[in-house]
Amino acid sequence: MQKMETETGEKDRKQGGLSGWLRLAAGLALIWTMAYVILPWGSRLPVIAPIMQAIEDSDIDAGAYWYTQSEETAIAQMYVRHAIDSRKD
Amino acid sequence: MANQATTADNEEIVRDVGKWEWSELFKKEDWLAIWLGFIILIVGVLIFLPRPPADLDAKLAKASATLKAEDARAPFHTIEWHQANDAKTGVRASKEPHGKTLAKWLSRPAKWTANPMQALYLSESKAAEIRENAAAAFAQAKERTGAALANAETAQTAAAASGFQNTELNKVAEAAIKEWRDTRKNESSAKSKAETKAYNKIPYLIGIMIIFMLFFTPGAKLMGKDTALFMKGFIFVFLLAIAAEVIGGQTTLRSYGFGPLIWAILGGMLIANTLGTPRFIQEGAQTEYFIKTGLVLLGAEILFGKILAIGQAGIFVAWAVTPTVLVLTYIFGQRVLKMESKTLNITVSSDMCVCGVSAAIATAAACRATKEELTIALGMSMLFTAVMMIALPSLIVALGMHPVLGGAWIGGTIDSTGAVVAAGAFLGEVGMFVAATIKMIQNVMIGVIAFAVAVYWCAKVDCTPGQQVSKMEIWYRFPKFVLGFILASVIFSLMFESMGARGTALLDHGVLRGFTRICREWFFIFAFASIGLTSNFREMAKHFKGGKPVILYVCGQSLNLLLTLLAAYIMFFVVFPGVTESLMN
Repeated sequence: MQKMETETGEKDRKQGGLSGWLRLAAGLALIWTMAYVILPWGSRLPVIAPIMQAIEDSDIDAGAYWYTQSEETAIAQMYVRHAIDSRKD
Repeated sequence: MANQATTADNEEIVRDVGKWEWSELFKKEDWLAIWLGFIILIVGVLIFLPRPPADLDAKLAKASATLKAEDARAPFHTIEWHQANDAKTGVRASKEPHGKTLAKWLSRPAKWTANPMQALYLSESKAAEIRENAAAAFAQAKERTGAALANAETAQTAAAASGFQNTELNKVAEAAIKEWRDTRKNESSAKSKAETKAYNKIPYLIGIMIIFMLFFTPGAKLMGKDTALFMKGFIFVFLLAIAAEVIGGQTTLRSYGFGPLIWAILGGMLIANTLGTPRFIQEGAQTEYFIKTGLVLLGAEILFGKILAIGQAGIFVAWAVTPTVLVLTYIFGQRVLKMESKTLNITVSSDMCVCGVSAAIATAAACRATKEELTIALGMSMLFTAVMMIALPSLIVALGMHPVLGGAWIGGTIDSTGAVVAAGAFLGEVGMFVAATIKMIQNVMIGVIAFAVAVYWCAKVDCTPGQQVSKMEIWYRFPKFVLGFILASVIFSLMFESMGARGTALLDHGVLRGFTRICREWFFIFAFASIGLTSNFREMAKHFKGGKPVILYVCGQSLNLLLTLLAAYIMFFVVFPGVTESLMN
């Protein structure tokens, strides 16, 4: 990532003004639409609904990006390790 | 120490050249990240290791003895087995008073559904309302659990009366125990709602902002930054991080896996590319400083002993297929797609086949990819992860695939841990356990990959064609923070293994999950807010020319899906069918 330290920050200063604020408002509106309209609508689609339900029922954080952020992983590895250790064959 | 070099396309690159100065140890962010990371790790060790939960050894020994005895007694997991397992899992240093205090201070905004203010503040009256609404459901869930337990006890007693030799009675007991476990889970969820407490996170967030600002400022000064500007900029970065945490905590977005990191980047980019990022904010938006400190902490969470969790079958699925796909995807990107940027190629390849966000961060930092390249890799990973999290379990269920095979397939191919758990949960408990464990083993691999990429880049990529690079030159160019990352991993892996069962309670569920992981999550979100604030849409669009990153991701992921499925089938059903049998029992 170092090379961008020299590249960024110079040419993006000409932003701002009314058009800048309008574009910012449009971007925020887009995020709002996605969070409150598109994704909730998607959650109700027959293909997606059962999985979303399973996620909500188990209160899973689908955005966790590392195993230590997931409580389920801690339980899973304990279960799996025990199952492997207690193998009789 | 740092000098400018020119590449074939005349792009300016700040690169380490063959010269070592001792002052680098306290002036370069790589070294500062190591020192800061190790300060946090040492503080964590000093807080948690001397203060174990009361009767830790006795509790662990008792639980282990019960587990062993019950395994010998019955061909299925009995009620006593589950109770002992719960007791063993529940012994955690993070649940001690000092762990709770740390969690309170370091906690991020809460999740919410309709009112974003609830991410930061919940009044006593609202909490009382939630408690009141949940009370009836909790009482009902409690009653159901009691009835299910009584039923399970009756069924287990009947099975025990026949010496666990009657297959039918065993099956009935097993089903009754499973039902009890399910009702217990529902009870626990209802309980947390029925015990909702009022909170105000704002004072703690202000406190933690000041603490982190003071933590990072001396290093920024040593690096030659304007201290006052850095502090002002840091406050802005922190506020953007909080806004991203609030957005990412919304229930629907959270369920899709669109967590705070992506909102930090998008929010920052939105500001940078509409209003523009003022200089004082740019001074505080020190992406590399935050990301490398976070990566040193991530190193401590790479515990090599974990790769043995599911035996040789899991190691093969996660550790043989993944590097194969990584190398083949990278070669495909260079030779077939002819991608202009090798750093983008390796970052996308790594996040696609190793573990998404964390792999992208570690690889991008190891090969010095641009911020825009990292953002592209993360954006694609999150979008494809959301799609695969829904499509893959649906396909597995539709095909009637075995849960162990399906779980291994999910664990080896879906990028992020949370999405793997979510998709695995759709296959049932065993499927989820296998998926999560395979993903965990794959997570551990990122240490090796980051190190290999850093060495390969220093020795082969960052040099002119035909240039022979000496060992010392490799050392000069090597991103030094990787040393801290690897060292933290080695030290904590050795500590974890030497501590036996205490390691899980004190290190994993104390030092790491109770302290350093939370700090690391904060540092990454600062880094991602900084990336957004200093990124340029136009720069990013250049990389999308011809849709090459998307083609790379799709082709690489297709190969990953095929090879992982094949490897999982061979390992769990041909070479080690006993492992599958044990998991199903």
